[in-house]
Amino acid sequence: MSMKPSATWVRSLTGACIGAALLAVAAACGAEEPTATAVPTPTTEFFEAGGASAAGVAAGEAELWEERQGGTLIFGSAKEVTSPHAFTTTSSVDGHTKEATWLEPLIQLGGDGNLYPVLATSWVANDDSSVWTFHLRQGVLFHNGVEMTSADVIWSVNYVMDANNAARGHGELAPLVRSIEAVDKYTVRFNMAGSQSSFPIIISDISVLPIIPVDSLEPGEIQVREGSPGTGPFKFDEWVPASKTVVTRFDDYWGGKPYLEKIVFQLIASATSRGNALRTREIQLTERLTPIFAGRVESGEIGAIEVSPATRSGYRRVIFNVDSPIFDDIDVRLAATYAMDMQKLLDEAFFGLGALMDGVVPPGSIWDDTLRACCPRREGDPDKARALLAASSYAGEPIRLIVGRGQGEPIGVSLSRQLRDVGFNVNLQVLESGVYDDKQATGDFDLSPKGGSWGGDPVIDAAGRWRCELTELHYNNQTRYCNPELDSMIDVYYGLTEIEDKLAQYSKIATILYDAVITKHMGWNFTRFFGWNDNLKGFEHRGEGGYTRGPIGGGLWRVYFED
Amino acid sequence: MAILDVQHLTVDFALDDGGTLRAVDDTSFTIDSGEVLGLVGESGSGKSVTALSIMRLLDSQADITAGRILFDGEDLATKSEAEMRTIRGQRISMIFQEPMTSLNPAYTVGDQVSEVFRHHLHMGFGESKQRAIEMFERVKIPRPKDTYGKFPHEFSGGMRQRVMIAIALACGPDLLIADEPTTALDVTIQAQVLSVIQDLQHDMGLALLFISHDLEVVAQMCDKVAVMYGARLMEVGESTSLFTGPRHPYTDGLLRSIPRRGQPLTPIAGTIFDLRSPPDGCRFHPRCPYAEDRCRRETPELRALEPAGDGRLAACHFPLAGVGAKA
Amino acid sequence: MLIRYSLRRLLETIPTLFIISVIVFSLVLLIPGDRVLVMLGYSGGDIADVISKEVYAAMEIRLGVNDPIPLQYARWLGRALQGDLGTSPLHAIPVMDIILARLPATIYLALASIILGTLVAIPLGVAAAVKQNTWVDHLANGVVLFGLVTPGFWVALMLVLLFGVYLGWLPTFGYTAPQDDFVEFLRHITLPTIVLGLDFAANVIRFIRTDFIEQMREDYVRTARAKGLSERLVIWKHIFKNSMLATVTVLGFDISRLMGGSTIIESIFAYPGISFLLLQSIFNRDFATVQGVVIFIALMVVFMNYLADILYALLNPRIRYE
Repeated sequence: MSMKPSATWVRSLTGACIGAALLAVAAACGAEEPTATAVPTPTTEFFEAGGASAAGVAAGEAELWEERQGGTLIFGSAKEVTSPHAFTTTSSVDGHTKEATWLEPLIQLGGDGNLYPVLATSWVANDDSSVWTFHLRQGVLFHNGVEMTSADVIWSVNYVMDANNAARGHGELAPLVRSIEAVDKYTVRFNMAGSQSSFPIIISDISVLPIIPVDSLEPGEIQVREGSPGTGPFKFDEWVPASKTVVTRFDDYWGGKPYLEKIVFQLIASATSRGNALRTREIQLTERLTPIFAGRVESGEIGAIEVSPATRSGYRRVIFNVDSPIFDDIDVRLAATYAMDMQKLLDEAFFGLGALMDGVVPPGSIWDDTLRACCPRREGDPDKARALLAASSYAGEPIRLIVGRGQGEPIGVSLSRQLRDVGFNVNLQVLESGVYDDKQATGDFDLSPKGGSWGGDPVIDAAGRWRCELTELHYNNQTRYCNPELDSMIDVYYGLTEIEDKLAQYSKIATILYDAVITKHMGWNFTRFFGWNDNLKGFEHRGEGGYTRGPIGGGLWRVYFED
Repeated sequence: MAILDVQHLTVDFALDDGGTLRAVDDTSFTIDSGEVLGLVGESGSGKSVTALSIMRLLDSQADITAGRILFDGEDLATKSEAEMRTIRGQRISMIFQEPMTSLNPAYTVGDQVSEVFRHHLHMGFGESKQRAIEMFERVKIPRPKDTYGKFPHEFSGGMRQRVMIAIALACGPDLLIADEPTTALDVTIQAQVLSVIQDLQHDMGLALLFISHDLEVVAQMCDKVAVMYGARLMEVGESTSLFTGPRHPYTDGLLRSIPRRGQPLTPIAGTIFDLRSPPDGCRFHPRCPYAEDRCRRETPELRALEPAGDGRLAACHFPLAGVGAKA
Repeated sequence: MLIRYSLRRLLETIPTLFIISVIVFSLVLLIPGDRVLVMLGYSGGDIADVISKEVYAAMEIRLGVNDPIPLQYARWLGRALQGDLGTSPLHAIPVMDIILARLPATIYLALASIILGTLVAIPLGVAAAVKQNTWVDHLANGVVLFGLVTPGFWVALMLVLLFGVYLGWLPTFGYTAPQDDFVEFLRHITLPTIVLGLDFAANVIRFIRTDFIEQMREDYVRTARAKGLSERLVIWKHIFKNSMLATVTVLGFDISRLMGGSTIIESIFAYPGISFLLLQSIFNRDFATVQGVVIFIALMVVFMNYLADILYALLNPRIRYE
């Protein structure tokens, strides 16, 4: 493994033409054959075999399965599944765990940026993307033994759409979908609210729309102690709050029997403890190991363990509160922007592990090219910052820089130093996460580093942060920046179908944001590592903190123990 | 025959600053079986240290540096701790000044008495309890049976001192050391407790070392009296004759300082010296109205005085005549 | 008489508990962080960026966070008095059930630590007092200093490295119920017990040593010696019981502290006790569980102090009829 972002990864991103895939994939998948050439072979084979699996696996497969099957994997989780509820996702780990095991979406976003069929085998839009038709995979059984049909998908969608159910995906799904109807037993039709070309990427997020059987939950039922039946390779078995989640093998999985008999997601909150337990083989796989631990594995000090960085586990950005008396002046924001040297920050706060970024887009991607063309990076330039500051309205008022405890702390320290260096008066507040969230929601801050993760589209991922209507709900738009022109541009974007059009529109949106100076992007951080025992085979992860995606390139479905 | 024969007892205390303090200096006296010896003197004169030396219960910083303590012919000063444990509580017992704190607050008085029987005489619980109740009767505690299960805090000081006496006399010792046993008590209670001690001493034929600074009590209780001043014995003699005719100026001074009807109170002039730096010669000389040059140079030995025969000893170069005070 | 005393002390705890319940309830409400947002998957902008107003409102109603606080309190107290601490908004398990399910683990750990701590502390503390300035005293002092100066988590990590990673003798995390596999139970509980036991012992040794030295100067000790009792009896019968009087109070406090569990230790050893539950519940802004666990721990503290009082009365005859 490499401690630096792997060159292959960047290339594959570009090569795969994430964006091009958007519609191309949709169209291509309609033809049951993904076009993207960079799709790893197992995936392709898998989908070829997908239909066949129900009819019986090839003789060689059966032998292989016999050879590899069995065993209990104990996975050291950094955070817990806070509720086994299918429509409640309280953290990325919560979502990843469910997605890796018992819940599946209709389609998924692969590590290459392409969309792949899961419970839907193909999907197609009408000309203006106001109607989306999804063909469902046939022969998929829920864990309760009942076959999945249109009715289940319709019920799941409607459940999410009803605000009273407080489903996690409501905010994303409700504005887009007007209604859903069954075309036949295995086909559903979404009638969209206007033109929604980006719809597939939105529902590819497991936290937005997992599919569970009709009537699995009562209306308004938000407290459950058992997971609803899903379609994933593992069945929900047991959930103990603040302790563990257990899943067992689902022999009738539509993709073929998984190897592992059981997986225990054991909550071990301390990264050091996870590392130790991995060394003693009490756990065989874990996430969010520290760079120090990974370094010791790299150097050979710790043996029999493999580590791999979650290269896109998240990015960091620094946001300005434009409502604050200090930063309502764009010149002051600009001065602060030039005061921040992000490479220095990565070095100081993230052991130099990370990659600089210009917006919420992966480096080297087509989005990145667009961004670079329209909006040249504002490198750290203290002299320029000092000059801008001197000419601005800033009179030495203390800046409330709020950071969360833990990882936020070194960022806060480094940022304060840089800002003070050019003449800002910084009041650094290191806060417990709840207080940190509260202050952001109530606007009791001037400047704050925040996290985020790549969902496959820079506008759809982040639109909520920019919309005027969402300034009222400050947990969405926390910069409090409002520009109706930007909002209408985003609306237009949602209706675009061609990648060229999208890139052009993105360029306009990015320019507005660039000129508004509401955010400075810090970079992707690569400080989280997966680690596993060397006798554990078949583990792949997406590189973004998720170890999942069921059939798409790895996950836990094809993990097995080598004797 | 003397049951206790203390010869040239010297006890030194190691001080925190590295120096030493002589708390008992070259002290000798005897007590016969059935005899009561009163040891009198001011506070800090070495009475209690003498008593604790006999019990070998001195603090760890105190050390018997010279002399012998012959008890029934055997030197206690050289006994091992284990040997001493068979003597304490069984052959020599001691009662202390503070009845309020000398009993263990966490155990019943019955247990604290019967424990001695169990420990020294290896009795069982039933028998030791029986014997303890008998002891309560002997020290005249009312309702001895009810007393057994009660805790020290349920009793007055006088009753507690009776319990202490019961403990001390449980095994029928040869020698009882009573260190200011009634000082902390009211006068009426004092008399009752003294009468209990006196009766039992008489009944059991005990030798009693009675330590007190109260000359009247000593006169009433004791056959013989030893007067201590500044770690040394000043005078020893028969109780009656010593009180009527003191030969040492210090004894004389003590007697004069007792308030008596119709007589002027004449306290001894000056104050007691600091034990860390005793004066040369006779220790009493700075306060002695009769002191002469020799007193300042030579330390007088405790010696028999003329006329011989009455057993009077005094440590004075110029003893008084012995009949009343010198004019 | 002791029974009447016990009952009276028990009645006296009622106002204490009432006040605690009010404080716990209000303090928990003061914990910053929007529980609605947490329920909706919002934490530090990590994943969710779009939350609709409708869903927020629906969740607010569901969580009952809009009712007046006195009403919320009255409702909660009414249920709590019937042993119902509410149900976590995150799942359908009554808070009481979660606590009871996790309580044994914490109690076993607390008991094991107390037993280990006491077995180490009492002989060492007494020996240190009796043999001042000898090697025993220095050893005891060392244990005390080590226990007080070194943070528990560091000791825990070092023990894990030594016994778990390098020697491979003991597991590094987790818990097995004794009824499932007693040997595994012991293996899992050993390291956390050592960490907590050492901490406990350090406190107790320090206390016993000081108190014992004071007790040894008491007159009753001289009396006991004057009786000709052996040193063993003097120390372990006469001084010990008196010293225990004071120590019991300290023990009561320390034990109640342990009964509340140790967040850091439970966290490091991924030990499924109630204090780790509390920590996770705070992260999750699961206020029903936080309230439940805190009030439960408060109950334990009050109860353990009550027990210590009764024990004190048993040991100390002077207090009984007062």
